[in-house]
Amino acid sequence: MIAFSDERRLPLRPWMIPAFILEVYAFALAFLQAVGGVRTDEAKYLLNIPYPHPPLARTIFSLTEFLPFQEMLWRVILASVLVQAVWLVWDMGRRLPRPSRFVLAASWLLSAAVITLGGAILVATLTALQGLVLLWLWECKWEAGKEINFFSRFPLIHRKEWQACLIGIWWLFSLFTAYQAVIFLPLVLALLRRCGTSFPLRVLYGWLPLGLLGIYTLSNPLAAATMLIHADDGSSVTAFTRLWGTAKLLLIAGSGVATVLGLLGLLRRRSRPVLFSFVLLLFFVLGSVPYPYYALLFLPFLSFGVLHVLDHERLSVTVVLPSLAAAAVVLVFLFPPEFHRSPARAVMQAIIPRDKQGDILITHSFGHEWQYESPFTVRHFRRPLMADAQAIVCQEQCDDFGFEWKPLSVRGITDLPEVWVRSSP
Amino acid sequence: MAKSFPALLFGCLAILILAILTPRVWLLRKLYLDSDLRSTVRVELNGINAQEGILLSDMLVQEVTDNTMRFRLQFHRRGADNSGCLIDYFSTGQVHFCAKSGPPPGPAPATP
Repeated sequence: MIAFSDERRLPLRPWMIPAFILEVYAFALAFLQAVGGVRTDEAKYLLNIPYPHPPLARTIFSLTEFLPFQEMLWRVILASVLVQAVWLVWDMGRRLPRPSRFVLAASWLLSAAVITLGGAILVATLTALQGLVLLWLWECKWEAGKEINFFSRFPLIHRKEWQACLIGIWWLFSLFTAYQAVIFLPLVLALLRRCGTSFPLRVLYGWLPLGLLGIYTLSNPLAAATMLIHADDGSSVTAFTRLWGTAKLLLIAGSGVATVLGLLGLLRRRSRPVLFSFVLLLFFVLGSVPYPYYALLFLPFLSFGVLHVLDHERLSVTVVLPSLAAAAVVLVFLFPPEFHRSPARAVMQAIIPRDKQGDILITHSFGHEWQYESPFTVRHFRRPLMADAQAIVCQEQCDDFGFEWKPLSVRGITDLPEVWVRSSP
Repeated sequence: MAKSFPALLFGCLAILILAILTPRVWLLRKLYLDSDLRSTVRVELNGINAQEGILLSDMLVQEVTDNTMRFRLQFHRRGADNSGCLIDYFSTGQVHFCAKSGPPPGPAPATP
């Protein structure tokens, strides 16, 4: 009989059980999002369609395109990093008493934005995490020889010149992940100043990445054109809609309770770089169409604010935690995740087994999820293209296409879209 | 030297990115400098979309001259994408495959 002695057992560290529980939470968030299937923005990132954001994250996503479980893989990874990021929030509050640290961690984990968007494949998730790391660095007081946090164990990082370089690389990666990372410029410049970086090096680490992003934008006219189109879309949105949209995003980001505490904390702390970045974010959201996923961008700022309220106020955990949880439940109920499933997957699952070749033509405008679900070329419907097509998807009622074409019944779809396939064998 | 090594490392990374991006921008400079050319490119892209049903996001403009537009056509889909290089001649409105690029499998190129 083979038996291991007690000494060979995996030692149970204190962080393992919470990490496991957090991972279960992350998996639940990923599966919650999977109910709605792949959305157009998610498909854009998974297929590496070159707009609107810079290429870093979407290139990495698309490297796994050969995997049949690509969608679920990234849902789980993104939900996991978002949920496990609470360790950074926990670390930021190391000076607080334990009950207050639980309130701080809950402000992150019980955010309605985390619950409703945690498992979505979005670059906003990555931008929120990139922002959290910068805020965490801002909270770290780097003192030589003192073990302040995990990174204090690496002597190289104690050197100011390496800290500045790593901040520069983080900033460069953040910018090449998503344009909205630009809002962190004041924070990055302040961090570089704190490292004692000279002016030329601040230009190198802080401003040069912005220049590179500008050059990238010029190299991809579609990205530039999309930004102009989105700006144009936003011009029809009224000031009231923008304000209400932004207020709603703030409410969702902090589940109401952490929104109020976070805003109070931000104002009380009066940390200029953090406030500047937050104001830039406000302007960014107010100036664009307030998409729901922007709520994630507010999250690190609100947790930072909550930290500074907890510094001064001893809030009762037994009051704050249940209030936060109750507010999160109400907000998730009021603004639930997108459960409406695009018909793309069902339609493609009906077309693929026919084992025919040819394009899929789709009438009216359609999302990139159609491309994601299809192993065939997808095009807009044009009559001359019918000769090389194997199926036509009509998103509104279509005329009869003639004897060569017959309707295909798709499981779960009774009305629209109509699917037509060639009647010949 | 040890103190300037991180800056040197970062500088090399920046130069590498710059070296990749600058030639691309140079080939597109006329798109940004000439507003007439810009509107011609827009009309041509919309024309190809209208005729061939190709999504604008599947066409990546790579080079613009006074008479031509070179673009990469990539049909994004699950699995290996069909892709190829095409040149659109503004004077005739005809689209041809680039000299060194084979045609992507599928329908013939657009002739708006």
